[in-house]
Amino acid sequence: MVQITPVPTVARMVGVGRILRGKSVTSPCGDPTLPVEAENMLIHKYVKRALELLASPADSEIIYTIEGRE
Amino acid sequence: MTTPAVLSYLLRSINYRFAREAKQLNYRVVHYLNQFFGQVGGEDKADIPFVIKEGPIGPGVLLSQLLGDGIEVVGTIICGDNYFSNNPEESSLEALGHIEKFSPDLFIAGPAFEAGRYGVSCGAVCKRVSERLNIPAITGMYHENPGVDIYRSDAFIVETGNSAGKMKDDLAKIARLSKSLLYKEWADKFLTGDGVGSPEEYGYFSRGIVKNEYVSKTVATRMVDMLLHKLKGEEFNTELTLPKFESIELPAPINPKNSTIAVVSDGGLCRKGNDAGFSGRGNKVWTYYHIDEFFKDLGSRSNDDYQVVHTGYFSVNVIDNINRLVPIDVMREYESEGYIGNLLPIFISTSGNATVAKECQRMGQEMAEMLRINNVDGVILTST
Repeated sequence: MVQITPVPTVARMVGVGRILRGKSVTSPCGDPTLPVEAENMLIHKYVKRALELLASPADSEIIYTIEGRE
Repeated sequence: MTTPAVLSYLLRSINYRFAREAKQLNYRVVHYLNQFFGQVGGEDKADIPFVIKEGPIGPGVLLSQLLGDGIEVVGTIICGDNYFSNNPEESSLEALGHIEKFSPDLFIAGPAFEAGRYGVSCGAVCKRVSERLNIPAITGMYHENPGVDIYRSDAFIVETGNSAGKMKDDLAKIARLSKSLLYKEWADKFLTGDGVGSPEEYGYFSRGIVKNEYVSKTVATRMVDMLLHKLKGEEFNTELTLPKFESIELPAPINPKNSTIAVVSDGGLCRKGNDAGFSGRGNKVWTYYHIDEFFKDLGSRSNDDYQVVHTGYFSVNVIDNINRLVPIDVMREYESEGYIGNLLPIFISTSGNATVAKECQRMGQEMAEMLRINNVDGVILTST
């Protein structure tokens, strides 16, 4: 399981093995300030990254981002 | 704390003490509040950046009265919960910049009660302040607030109720701890560890600090006593509290191309009319939808089909574009392009906002059972 969340500290506290930092509380996988096409590309990036994380070993200490990790 | 920091701390303490005695100056307190308690607005104002005010605001006024003479709330820092949680590292540094301009002797945040984002931001600012300004940093939270476990060692977190219902009592506890930390020499206490009131006495969550102290009974005697009480079904006081969350065996990686992937969310999404019967807060139920019915094709989909039942965030963005919470259209695309073997035709939904940990665990286990029966290999869970 990979969790996309804008508040990853909670996920880490519980011990989630694959944590992906979401964009914002009101829009975890997208960004309403972007134009439609750009936002669509961003949502694609989130899903793609989530699938990459499912295919990688888990580590409950790391918080991942769409670019890499924190 | 480094040696130069300790020295500067001592000097400040001594200076202030003389200055105070000479000029009878007040102790200076800075207070941190979110947009709601700072009287700016509700969830609709959760994105506001920092607002700085002189003097106390909102609950700070009552806090000021409870702190009494000799202690003054000189400034209030207000920040939107979303603004802060979007980048806690930077936000807490920004907060520190505003706070230090007031030259405070004490910092108080919240109390946050059960509000998760608020609790985490109170804790984060307290941590920054106590590390960099070397002054006591106090906040207040309900025991279920995620901020408690994350920041209990970095701040004094007074235990509060789960809502502002008992605000006066909770502020009184904060005021009492504040006075105890200010009026006895802070530097002495920091160096020797003596004189800082115990968690039990002052009602704050233990900070995980282990102190040697003399007791009349040996550990062997205390242990046997404890065991005898337990065997007789009597009350006993544990000397060590076990951590709350059991560790989970982390699942091995999968290959999404030949896996069944499911989407789950705790953002509170349901059919308009709340067919799921979610509560906006403290919710204990979950549901599932067949995605062909629930997520119609973009052409026939309407905002009016959906509702978000979740009082912890402003749902306008999600209703405008469901994919921001549940990226279903992208998942469907990836399934047809072969990046995902199979997209489970069921979407599992719940509302996760101040739900008791035990209920979360129960719901999680029930959801996992449904996913297992459907031979799901991997899950993307989205949360707000």
